[in-house]
Formats: sequence, structure tokens, C-alpha cells
Amino acid sequence: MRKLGAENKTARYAMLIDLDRCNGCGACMVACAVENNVPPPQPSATPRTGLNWLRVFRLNTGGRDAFIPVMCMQCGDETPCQSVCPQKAVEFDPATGIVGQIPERCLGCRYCMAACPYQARVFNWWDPQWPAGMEQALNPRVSARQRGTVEKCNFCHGRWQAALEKAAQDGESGPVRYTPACAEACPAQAIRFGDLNDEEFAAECRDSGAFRLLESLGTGPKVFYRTSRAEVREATRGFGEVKRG
Amino acid sequence: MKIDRRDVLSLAGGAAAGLAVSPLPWRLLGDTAIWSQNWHWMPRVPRGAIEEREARCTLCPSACPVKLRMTNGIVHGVAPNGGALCPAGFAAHHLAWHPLRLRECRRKDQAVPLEEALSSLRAAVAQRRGAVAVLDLAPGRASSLLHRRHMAALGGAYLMPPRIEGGTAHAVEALLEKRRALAADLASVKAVLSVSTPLLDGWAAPSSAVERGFRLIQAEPHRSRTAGLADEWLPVKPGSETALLLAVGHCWLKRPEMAQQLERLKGAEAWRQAAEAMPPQRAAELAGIEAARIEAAAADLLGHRPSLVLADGDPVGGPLSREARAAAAALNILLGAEGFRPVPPLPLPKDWTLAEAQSLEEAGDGSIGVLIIDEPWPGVSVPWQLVEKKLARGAVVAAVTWNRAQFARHAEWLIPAPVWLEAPLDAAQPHDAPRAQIAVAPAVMARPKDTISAAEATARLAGVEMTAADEFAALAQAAGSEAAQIGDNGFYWSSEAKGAAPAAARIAPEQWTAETWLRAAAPSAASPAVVAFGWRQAAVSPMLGKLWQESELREGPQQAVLHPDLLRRQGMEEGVLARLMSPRGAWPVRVRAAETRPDVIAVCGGPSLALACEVRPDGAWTLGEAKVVKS
Amino acid sequence: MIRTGILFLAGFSVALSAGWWSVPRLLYRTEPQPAQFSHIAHTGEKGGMSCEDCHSFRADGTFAGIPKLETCAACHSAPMGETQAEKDFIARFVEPGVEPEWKVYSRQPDNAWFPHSAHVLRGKVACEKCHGEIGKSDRLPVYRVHRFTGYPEDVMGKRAGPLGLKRAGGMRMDDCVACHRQNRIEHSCLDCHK
Repeated sequence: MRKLGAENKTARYAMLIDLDRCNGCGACMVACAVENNVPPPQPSATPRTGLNWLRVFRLNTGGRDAFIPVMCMQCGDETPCQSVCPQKAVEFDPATGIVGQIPERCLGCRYCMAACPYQARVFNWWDPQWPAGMEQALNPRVSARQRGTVEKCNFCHGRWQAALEKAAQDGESGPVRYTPACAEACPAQAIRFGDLNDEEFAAECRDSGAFRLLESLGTGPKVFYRTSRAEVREATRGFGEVKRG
Repeated sequence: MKIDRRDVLSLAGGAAAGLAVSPLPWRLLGDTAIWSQNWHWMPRVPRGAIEEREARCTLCPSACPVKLRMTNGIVHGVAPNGGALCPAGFAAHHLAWHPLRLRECRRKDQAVPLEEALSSLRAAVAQRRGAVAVLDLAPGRASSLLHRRHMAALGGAYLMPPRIEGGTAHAVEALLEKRRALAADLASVKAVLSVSTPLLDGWAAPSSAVERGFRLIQAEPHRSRTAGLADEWLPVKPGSETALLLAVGHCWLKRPEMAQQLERLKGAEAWRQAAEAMPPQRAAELAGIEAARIEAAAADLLGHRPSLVLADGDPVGGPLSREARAAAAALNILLGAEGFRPVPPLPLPKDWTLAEAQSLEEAGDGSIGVLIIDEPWPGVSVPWQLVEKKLARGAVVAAVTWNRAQFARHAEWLIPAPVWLEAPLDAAQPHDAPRAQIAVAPAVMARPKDTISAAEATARLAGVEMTAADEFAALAQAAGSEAAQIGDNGFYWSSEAKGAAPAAARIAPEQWTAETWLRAAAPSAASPAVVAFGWRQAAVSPMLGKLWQESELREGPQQAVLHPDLLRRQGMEEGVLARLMSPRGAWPVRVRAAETRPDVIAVCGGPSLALACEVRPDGAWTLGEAKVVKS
Repeated sequence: MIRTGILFLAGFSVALSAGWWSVPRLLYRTEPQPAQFSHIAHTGEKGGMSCEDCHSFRADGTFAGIPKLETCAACHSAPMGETQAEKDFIARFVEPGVEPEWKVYSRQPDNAWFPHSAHVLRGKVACEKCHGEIGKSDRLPVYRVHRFTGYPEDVMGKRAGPLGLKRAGGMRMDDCVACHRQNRIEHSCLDCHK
């Protein structure tokens, strides 16, 4: 198979998040929402029903605060949400390693939300509503959100598309390099984005200090974390028990 | 020919079958499904070329460089341009469409044309010449200089609200003999004792909060974000801050180098007596923490020089008491004020005369006949009680403001102001770095009609001919910059301080005695005590609700934080709606449980909460005897 | 029995023809273009221009689509030919500086992403492959837009349920998919959707 803009070469985009650097400011959450045309909270929205593609959780360490940004892990092996979707509205793209969510196909059954061990998926309960005029400030690179579908992080696919468009114009081939909104936003550069086919980046993700959430499930998540604080590492182990909302 | 029922059925059956093999029903079905992606109430994304432009976010003194992403003259993305941005920066362009945005000029509840408002105000100014004043809620901007110039022309006063950010620096300035503007030098200090100052949450530039090179000890009644991230959190009782600061001084008195330092100080006797009477054990009792932690904090500050003591207070909760600020200043002076550096003055065009900058508290009671309030961006406020008593009878109050909420009840006139990116607007001076700056954001978006910035409004009242942009350019020219034009990307000029830290000279207001200090050291008797706090940037965009309403990352406006035990004792559950009752009003709050002091209820508020605060005689703001009750 | 059959057939044929007749009329409405335009006058021997002369790429690789007024005005600040259409265009748009609001036959829905650079510059796909021979037309085609969805007919497609008709050229999703399948370059929905 050949990929648009990436002749005979594929990418496996991944993130490496340094929890020691994250100070839980939430810039990534806001930048993510603005980038992906996620509307501001509805008056009755709660942490359970809100629309966050990326959410930063406070970890219970007992000492100094630690935070963990959690987004779709873009699981590469037996992607749990993909295997349960009755609509084929979830797709794993072998060319980028990104798990795509197609709102036009999604019928809103939320089976995938139950299947996702990371609770990284959210249901869109409301038609997107913007304060009057603010809809003019939507990102042209991303479509408007729609009610009744499940949504999730797609590693800022709009930015990938923009990078591809530019690469085609410049006559460059191979997987494109780009930066998702959260990685660009992080004031501490705690979030790093790269390609696991890039040896240097892959080596850092393979480093003994790096880990993934619920690795034992064998879903092949592509978001890696790193921390030097034992209590933070310990607190992340309980992530599966943390209830969203 | 008779038509019977069978004929009708045949015809209808045929028609149904015919229709079924015609495309009509299927197209209707399919197209309706596609229609559902495209309901008319669904917003459409803009089309057209995406441009990038550089600018500065001027919504806080950090004046972070940003990249704007825009299409058809509308900004749809803000990203850092080297350096860092706070969460509000990413949604700062939303301010133009904020749901609370003031879009028309109003007198009470009536919409009036802007020109009518201005001529009315001009008439009022003419009538009460000399009693006109500007209350600048964001002092330290280049626009503030414009106000002062315009007030000089009018013979009016230029007033500043109580300083919160930079309040400790101000106290240090007051205690040094040579008064010079000082700013904390966060980039060079190695240890900071911060008392209820949100050092890592909006107080300092986002970049310095991230790459912090200092050990941070946070003394604060509730576990704020800064407290949570600090190396050490001292959960002191509200009101015991002065005791804590005196006890730190007590620990230092024993050290020979400090005894020497103290000898050089004049008028320090009262402070010394008070510090001597406040051993850590006594302060520990008053503050409700262990004495050893106070001793350790005192040792930390000496062990990691240069060090700094800050007691600025919270932007919504207000400044700490005058004594607490002075006590913090005294500690800084004992440290040789090494955490502060003088700030270079802003250059001025030669022919400008400025009205004196005066604090609102110093203005005479009942002296103001016409008050213009400048509220240029979200998150700035002042207790109305402070303003009210300065007004003469029948005074005219006009708020030049971006929003229609804050001063709606208090000002006769509400005049809509342009917001960031709609007009050349500038940031205030940093208080976390010894630097003078003029940071003017460019006007890249269409300015709504009938908006006028406060500096333009005072220029009109004073009959100054120059436009605000020209006045900015004159300032820039005076700064000796070649880029004196407010161009496509706005304008940025800054001058770093070169000088050394000011030498310690004089300490403590002479009229104070040891008793003054010690009286101030007693904590509040109320239990549970209600403390207010907030995040200035919270009001920039409703998108920021993602951080508290749609997640539990931080506390947001109208949320109260209680210890789980206290929550249980009050008969409330996590997440329920309660009421904050105070003598000055009642607000709905959602309660959250958190590891905080069990005798404290921390209420997170927006600027309107500060507006309702009472000002105690010692300068601190309070909600009075407030309670949080089940609703 | 025969009578029933005849009536059934009558109903059937009336409904069938009514269905076929009404679909385009019922579902699409015609909208006028702001001005008349002849591609051939520009691309033919007299004009000698190529598609890229007006329909250009921007620096970031995006496609500018229909040119803005300034592109037209660069040549047509004063009439170059004799036609009434040109004179009208200059009087109505160039002189007052009003941007004509062209209706775009190929305007894709908000959720679709079509990188011209990847197709035209890298893939060397000819413009005509999707847009047809519009470059040789003398008049603008009739612009028809779907009544509910607001999508142009060329994008919404004419495939009519089980009895679909396929258009030549094509800018419908099915056309994209068919071409990508043929060239074995399909991977995921997000290749083209946003």
C-alpha cells in the first residue's frame, strides 16, 4: 500500500510526556479545544459529560502535586475501540498509526467508550453552541463538532493534513513532521511529539524510565510517560481505577 | 364507469411501487442524513487563506510574544512565539466575543450613542472642573501615562486601586529611604517564601513559573495551586501571616550577620521587639503549624541566597494586611532587599506633563465629582466600598469597560471599550522582573463600532488632539526605539535593569510599636474562616471552563473548597450547590472536597467577588463573617 | 383483473415518472452566478492562459480556488475586449471594488479536505480529471444547489438511490474513493475527512 505524501514509508506518531515537567496548568487542554473546534462548556456540562479530547488529571501522590495529561493513546494492537465499533466509525490508520474517529459514521452507541481502558473517549451531548460571533473564530482546518457522536483526540489530524499539503507543494516526500496543539502549547515542553520510526525518538520512548498506562493490557498505546518520582509512577498505576468525572 | 375501492387501491399500489423504484424516497432518505451534518444552526468553519502574524498578548504584564493564526481578518488561533503562554493566552482572541462583552454605550439601562455619552461627560467635567478623576484598574501601562497626561490637562486626579501584585515590592520601596520603583527579580532568586501569593498561578510570567530556579515555600491557608506545586506548603491559619513573618525574623535575630544587619537599620526597634516576642513556638500556635517548619523555612531563606519574601496576596482575595506586607518587607530588608531590583523608569516625551499617580485610598473622601473607571481587560477589580466613599454627592461615574457585568450596578455610564487585537492596547509593567516595557498589541481585527478605549475617552474629555496610537508612538520614540511605529505586529520595547539590589536603609513606620505588630499577629477567630481567592485570567474566555467545569483540574469561579471532614460536618456532599452568605451578598457556589485546612473554606471567585469585598482598616479585603450553607 | 393491472401500471408509471422528473427539481434549486464568465476566452488562442495563471497555490500549499477580484482587475481595469459581459463586470465589480460572490461548483463540505497540492503537484492529476472540461466552456454552467444541505450538485452527486447515474468527471466522495481504490492509495477516512 502506498500513502499519500509518504511514498513507501509510514509513520508511527507517538507522544512522550514528562510528568516531572507538567505543572498542570491546563494550557494543553485549552489549546486542544481551540484547535479542534470544541465548543466552550454548556451551562449544564460536568466533568462527566464535558467534551475534552485531552484531560489533565491531578495524581494522588500524597505530597507535592503531580499531574498527568491523558488523551487517546492511539493503541496500535487490537485497538479496543475499533474492534467493538458496529459502524466501522473507528479506524486504525497504518500509515500514521493514528486511530481515527469518523463522526459522520458514528451512531453514538458509545460502545467504544466502554471499551476504552483509558476513558479517553467522550460523547458529544450537545450541538456545538458558541457565544454569538465566536463561531467566526473556528479553525478552518477542522470541521465543526456535531452532537450525538463520540469524539476523541486524533493527534491534531488537521495539522497533519496541513503539513502534508505543504510537503506536497515543496516536493518533499516521506512522513511529514508536525506538532499537535498540545505539544506546541505546553509551556514546560513536557509533551513531546515524534515518530517511533525515528530511531532517536523511539530510543527515548524505549528508555527504562519511560512507561505507558495499563501496558499489561497489550493494546500497544503510543503515548509514553516519564517520571523520576517514584510516588508519581506509583500513582499512575492506579489510573484504571480513576473514574472519569 | 364506476370507480370502486379496488380501483383506488390498485392505482395507489401502483403509485407506491412506482415511487419506490423512482429515486425520490431514497434520495430524500439519504439527503436528510447528510443534512444532519449540516443543520443550519451548526457553525460553519471559515474559508480562505490562513495567515500568520506576530503580536504580543497584552492581557497581563508578562506580554508574552504570540503567533496569531487568522483568516479573513478574524483570529482563530493563538500560539506561543518562543517562550510560553498561560492557558488563557490560547483563548485570548475569544475575548472579542465574550458573552459578557459590552456592545453598546449605556446610561443605566438605556442604550445611548457614544457621542452623547462623551458630550454629557464633557459637560459634567466642565461643571466640576478639578474634581474629575480616572481610576485605572490596570496601572503601569503606557495607557496609564496617557491618562496622567490627560488628567494633567484637565486638572484632574489619576488614581490607582490597592496594589496586589507587586504589593510587597511597594512596601519595600516605602521602607527604604530612597524611594525607587522596585520589582522582584524572580529569575535570580534561589529561595522564596510566598505568603498567599499565587506565584505559580498567574502572578509571574508563565515561563518563569515553569522553569523555576528557586526553592518555594508557600504559606497559605488553603492548598492553592501554588501551594500544591511548592516544595513546602505551610498551611497557616488565615490572619496569622504576620505572626509567621515575625517568627521567621525571630529565628534570624540569633544569627550574628543578622544582628549586624539590624544595627544598620534605623527605627527597627519596634520590629525587633515584636520579633523577639514572637518565637516560632508562639507563631506555630497562632498559625496552627509545627514550630520546626517555621524554623526550617527561616533557615531555608538564609541557606539559599539571594532569597525573597513575598506577601502580595491574592488577586481576588485582595492584599494581605498592611502589617503583614510590612513584616514581609522588613524580612526583605534584613536580607538586604536582595530579591528586588530597581525598575528603569519609562521614558517620557519632553513636553509631556503628567498628573501625579495617587492611590485610591489616599484620595480625599467625597472628593470626586466625575469618575472615569478604566477596566481594560478581565480579572481586574476593586472593592466598591473603597470607591464609594471617595465620591462626592451626585457624582457621575462612567466605566469604560469591555464587559457589561462588573460595573453595571455601580456606574451611571457604561462605555464599551475595544479589546485585545481590536485597538492598539498595551500591557502593564512586569512585577516579577526588573524591567520596564511598552508592549502594544496591534489592531488586527475590526473594531466594533462605538467603542472607545479609556485613554481615548480621557483624551476626548481633555481635548487632546493626538490619537492613542500617536501617543504610543510618541512614547516609543522617547524610548529611543527605531520601531516607533505601531506596525502590523504592534510594538514592543523593554529595558532591563542593570543596577544592583537596593541597599537596606530604614525599617518600619516610626509610629508603630511592638504592640502594633503583635496585635496584627492574631489569627481570625472565625471557624471555619472563609478566604477568597481567584485567577485573574479566568474571565478571558468561557473556554477556560474546560479547566474546572468540564474537568477537575483547578478551582473555578463559584466553587468552594473544603476539607472532606468539614464537608461532612457541614452536612454537604462533594459537588452540591451551596450558598456563600456574607453581609455583602449571597452567591451560589459548588462545593469541592480537597486536602486543605479543616477550619478553612476557600471560595474561588471572579472579579465581582472582589467588588463585593469589604476593606478592613488594615487594608486587607474580607467577605466579612461569611458562611457557606447548604442551599 | 385487467382493469386492476392497467390501473396499477398507470399509477406505477405516473409515480415513477413523477419521481424521476421531480427529483432534480425538488432537491436542487438554481442560483445565478454574479457575472457571466467565459473560460475559453481566457484559455483559448486569444487569451492563451493556463489554469494555474488564475487558480493558484498559496505559499502554505493550499489552493486559492477562484481568484479574487484583484487577479481579474490586474488585466481588466479597463475593457480589453468588446463583450458586454466584460463591460458589465468592470462596471459592477472592478470599478466599485466589490468582490463578486462566485458560487463554487466544487465547494466541498466542511468535513472534507482536498489537498490540491498532493493531487496536482505531486500526483500529477490533470484538472480536467475532476472538474471536466470547464476550461473550454464559453459560458458558466448552471449552478444548482441542494435545497436542504446547501451542497452544490457536483459535490452532492446525482446518484439517485438504487438507480444511480454516474456523472462524468466528478467531485463526489464516490468519485474520490473510486480513483483512490484504482490507484491503491487509500488508507483511512481521515485521509480526506477532517
